[in-house]
Amino acid sequence: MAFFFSLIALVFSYIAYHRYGVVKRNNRDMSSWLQRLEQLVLTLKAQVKNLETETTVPRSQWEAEPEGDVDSDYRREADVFENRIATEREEVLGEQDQEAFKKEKLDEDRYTISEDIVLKTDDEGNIYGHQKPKTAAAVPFLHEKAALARPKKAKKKNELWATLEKQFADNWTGILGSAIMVIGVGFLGIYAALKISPLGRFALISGFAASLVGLFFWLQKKPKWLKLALWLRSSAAAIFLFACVGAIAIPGLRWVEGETSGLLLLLLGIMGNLLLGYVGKKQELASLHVLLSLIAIGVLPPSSILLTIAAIVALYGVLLTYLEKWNYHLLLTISGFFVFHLLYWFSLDGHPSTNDRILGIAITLIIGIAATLVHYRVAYQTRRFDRVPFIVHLANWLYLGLGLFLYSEGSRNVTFFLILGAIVVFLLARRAQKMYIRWLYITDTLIAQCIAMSAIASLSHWQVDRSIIWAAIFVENLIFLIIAHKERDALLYKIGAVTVNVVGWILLTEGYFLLQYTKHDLRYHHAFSLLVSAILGTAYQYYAHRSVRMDMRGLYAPFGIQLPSSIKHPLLGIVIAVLFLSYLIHVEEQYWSIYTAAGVLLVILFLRHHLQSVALGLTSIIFLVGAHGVNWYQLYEIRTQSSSTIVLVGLPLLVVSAWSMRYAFVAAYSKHFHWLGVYLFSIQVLLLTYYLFVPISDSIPGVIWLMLTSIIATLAQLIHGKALKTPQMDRYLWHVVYGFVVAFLIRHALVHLQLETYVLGIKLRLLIELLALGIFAYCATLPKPKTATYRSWEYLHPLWIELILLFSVLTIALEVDALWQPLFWVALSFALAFIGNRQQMKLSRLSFYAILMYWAAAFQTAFVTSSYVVPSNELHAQPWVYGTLSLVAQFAFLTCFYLKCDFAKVTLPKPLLFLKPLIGEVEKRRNAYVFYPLIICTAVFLWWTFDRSMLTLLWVVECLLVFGMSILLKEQHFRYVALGALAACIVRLIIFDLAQTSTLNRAIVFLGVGIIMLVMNTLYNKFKNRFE
Amino acid sequence: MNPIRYIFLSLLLLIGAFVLYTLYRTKSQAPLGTSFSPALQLMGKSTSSLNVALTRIMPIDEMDERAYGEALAKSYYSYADTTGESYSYLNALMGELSIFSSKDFDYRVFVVSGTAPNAFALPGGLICVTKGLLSTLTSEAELIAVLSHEIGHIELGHCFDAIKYELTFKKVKSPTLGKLADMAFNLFLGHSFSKTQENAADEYGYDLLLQTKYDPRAFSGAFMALKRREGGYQGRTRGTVIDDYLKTHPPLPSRIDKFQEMAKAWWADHEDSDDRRYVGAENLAQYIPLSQQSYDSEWVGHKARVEEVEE
Repeated sequence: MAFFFSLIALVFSYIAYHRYGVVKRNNRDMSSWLQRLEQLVLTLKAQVKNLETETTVPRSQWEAEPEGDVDSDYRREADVFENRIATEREEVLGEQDQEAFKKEKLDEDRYTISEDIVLKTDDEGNIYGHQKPKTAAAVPFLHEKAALARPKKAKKKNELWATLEKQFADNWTGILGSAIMVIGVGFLGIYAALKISPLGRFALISGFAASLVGLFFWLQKKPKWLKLALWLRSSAAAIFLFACVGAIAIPGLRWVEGETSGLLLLLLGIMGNLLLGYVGKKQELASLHVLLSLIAIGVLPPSSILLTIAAIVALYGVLLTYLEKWNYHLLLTISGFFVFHLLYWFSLDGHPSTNDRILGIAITLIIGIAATLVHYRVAYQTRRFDRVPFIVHLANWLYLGLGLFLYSEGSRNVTFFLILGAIVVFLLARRAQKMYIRWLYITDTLIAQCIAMSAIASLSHWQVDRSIIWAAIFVENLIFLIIAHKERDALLYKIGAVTVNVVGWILLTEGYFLLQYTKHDLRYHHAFSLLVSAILGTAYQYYAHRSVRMDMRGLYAPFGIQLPSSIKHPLLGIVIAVLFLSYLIHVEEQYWSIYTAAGVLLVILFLRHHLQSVALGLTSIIFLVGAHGVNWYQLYEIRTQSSSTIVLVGLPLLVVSAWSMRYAFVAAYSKHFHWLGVYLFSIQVLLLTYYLFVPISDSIPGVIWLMLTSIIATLAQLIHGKALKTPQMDRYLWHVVYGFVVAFLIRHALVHLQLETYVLGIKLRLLIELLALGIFAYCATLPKPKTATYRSWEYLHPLWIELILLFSVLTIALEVDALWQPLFWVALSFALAFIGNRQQMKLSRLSFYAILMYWAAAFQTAFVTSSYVVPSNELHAQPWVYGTLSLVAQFAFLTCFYLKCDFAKVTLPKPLLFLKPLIGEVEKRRNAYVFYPLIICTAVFLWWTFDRSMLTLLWVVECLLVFGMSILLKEQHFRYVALGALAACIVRLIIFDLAQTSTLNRAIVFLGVGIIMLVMNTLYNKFKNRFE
Repeated sequence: MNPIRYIFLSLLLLIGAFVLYTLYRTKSQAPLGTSFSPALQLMGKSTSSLNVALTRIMPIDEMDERAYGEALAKSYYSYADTTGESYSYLNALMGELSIFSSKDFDYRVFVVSGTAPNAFALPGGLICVTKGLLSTLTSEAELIAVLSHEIGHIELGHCFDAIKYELTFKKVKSPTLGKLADMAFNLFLGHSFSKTQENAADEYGYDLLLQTKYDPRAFSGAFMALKRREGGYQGRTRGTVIDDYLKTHPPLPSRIDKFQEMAKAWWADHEDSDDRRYVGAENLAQYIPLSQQSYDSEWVGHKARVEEVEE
């Protein structure tokens, strides 16, 4: 009952609002505006009247017509306003409303606008005002006049409130009102349930619904009540449907026993609702009735019949959208049906029978297709993105897909259906394209693509390997790209470009996990998939480069990557390269695999060169380097096998790297990028020689690399300036030369040093070392290229000399007996000083190195040779002989050095500039650094080598030599040293020789010392002026 | 390009081809495969030279070493076996070898118990040999080779180097400090040149062996015997650079290879001569030196016993 009264109250409040509320006419509130105008007119008229009377006007006179003198201007103005009001009222208001308005006015006797002015209308509808009688003192009308003259501003209403108010009043009052009313009916029913029979209750509810229908018919005539009337009608249908459902299923309301009759009653209720949904001509009403119908069916115990009925209801709902663009209604309908269907499916406990499946699939398809085709109408023609229809369309596809998925039993045949579905949707999308419904075309194309990929994925039911499936998906995406290109759609193309890369990486990930498999079948299947995918990907790249002119820069811009417009699919290029590599890794244990890789590389390199494609360039570089890496691993694995196997495995990539040198031009940089091919070729040669010859003798590869050094250096020399098609090739060849030298040196240190074999009386190792020195010297003497300045030439080439020197030192240290080494150092010093002197432009630094060798000789003579022992008594084997010879040679060297060499002219190449301070220091005290080491070392040598009894004599001889040197060189300090040492010798002579030696020795020493001193005296007197 | 360069290049390539042919024909393989040992040995020469120089400037000499050796000898006399046949035999051999020495030491050999084949030299002319070594070696020539190697250590001053700080600090009454210094020096620097010193001792020993009547091939033969005792001559052993550095001796395979080739070269030089050298397997078995007993069958020429040695 409470609800019933609230309903009544609602109706009255609606009427009251309509009576006093805003009347919408062309989106303007004319009523209040007119009222303001009217007030103004009345005010003016009142003012006119007021001018006529200054005293209280008796009541009897109020009713009289105004007379007397009036201000004609005021009167005229009032008339003008009045006419204007009338005119505008006629213009603005419709005829009916005008009548209503007039009637309203006539019904009212007065409009009070102020306390003092009373307005009145006569029978003819004229409005005039009278001023109320007032006291003499109070003449407030002046203020009021001013106030009255000014029309009062209507209170500005809050716009938000106006909007909410409008929404609530227009729609939600209707919807909520109907719902609340239905609930009210329910309570009424419950109340009545205890009193009357189910049939009576059904009648009661139906009667109530009928009364609502009656109300509808009554209210529909009144335009103001039309909306309410419509909601009442809908409510009636809903209530009746509720009654029908109750009659079938709800305890207390149920009176129908038979299934058929119950069904018929339900159908009656539903049909009523659906009819009203149609005639309502509003999508809210249509949605309401369809959903109510579905809810009603849903309340009943699920069965296939009810499902069919629900499908018909949903289909009806969908078909309604063919008449209007009712997207919200469509969304509600298909969503409602989907929920219904899902609940039905759950009621089957996940085990639908065959019939259930067929029914379910058929229904899903019918509803889905019907909803899909809704948007294929001219009404949806637009180039813009229509958000709401898009969401609806997408939701429909989702429901369709899920529905079919739920009923699928995982049989193999699903593949065919999916393929068929993909084709159909694809063709549909083309239809959308022709109809210029762009968003629909894009959406359905992508849906078709998804279905196609699902169709391929369903091949798993046919026991197809996962890798093959992914490969097929990859190829399918390539085809999609071609189609997108043919249709000139940039968005589809970009989407395709992204998905093809994603699928490519998934394919690679599959392969990574499959690498763990020991079962070869799976690996080979996957390898095959990878190869085919990669080849087709390459073919697509070729096609893309030739045909595709789409700007792909937008795809990479969000990642901050700025690409030239000519680059199409750089990421795809990388993916394809990794696919090829992955294939190779999978089958690397099969030697034929390298032949396939070589074949592919030859083609790709050729294509890249002719097309100048960046994507193919990326593919070729990555695959080229990676294939070489795999091949090197293969060579390592087969290193113990026969030479023919090694050659067979290593040769293909040798050809490929040579080929890559030929096709290395990149137009974008106007350069040839031979270096990669050159380096790879060289490494391949290095490894092949290693693996081929190590089984025979592990010293052979090093020698081959050494010889190749000279050959490649010669080739570089010949190429420079001649082969214009391959500029700077000689530069990279020189890099290879340096690389081979390093390889040889490492091999020499690790292997050749162990060689003890003799050939023709010479150690083979020594022969190799001499060969190396010869080749280094050959490379060092090659002239610098005239037309190019390479950094490597500037920094590395000068170091050939240092390499020769160091290698010579190591060779001497290793091969020469320790007794002979000082002599070799001195010989080397001579050679270096000589060459340094002759080639002062380039090799003047050798004179400094000569001094270093000389120092080494002096040190070794003094400290090592002197302590050397030999197990022999023969004179020629005694260390002191070699030591003495070494000292003599050192003296000779010093003499030549002093006369010929000059450090001041030493020039250093760039990498050796750090030696400049050291050379400067030595040059500053040249004589000290050059002579004193020999003097000291000689003294030490003599001390440790010879018998103590002869030592004094030997030292005095040395003093004489130093003294002679001082005369020759005109150096005072040498004389001081000589004389000082002589003094020390004399002291020793007295202390040691006089006391501890034998008489003969004493005599020899004293005689010798004396003679020498006399010679020194003579020399001093003769060359005294030199000292002055 | 200059024609002289072409000629030079051709000459180089010809030499290279010859080397390659020789390598191919001989099929020579490095005994250690790829190894840092020879390179480390070569680099150790500079450190070894510096060590020698350092030793020479210290205020110690041969007399100090001799005194040290005498002190050591006294303790060995007390517990070593000086009465057995082996003792007399070894010292008889030592007597023949010591005539080539340059140091004024009284060279003595002591036999110490031990099944592992080993021999070591001590300062002042003392050499110790284990019983295991006597049972491992197969001929007197091999024994001579080992003794020559040990004499080389003494003659070249390696034993002296090992105690130089002790002897120096002894002069200032702080021998313990000296011992510590020796220990530290050998620990940190010893590895850098110990292989060089072993190599120098090998070369001295080989030169000494050449001065005697014994077969030069016995030098590598002694190493082969030791290798067989270790676990078979496998031809190649591999190790890391750290292993190579930490080893105190050069690897046996490289020593075997080196002195085998040197012996081959020596015999090749003496191919046409009537040179005969003595092996002395019987002598070793009987503990009778060559100077006391010569067996005709033990004399060998160039071709004799080549296959046996290579086996």
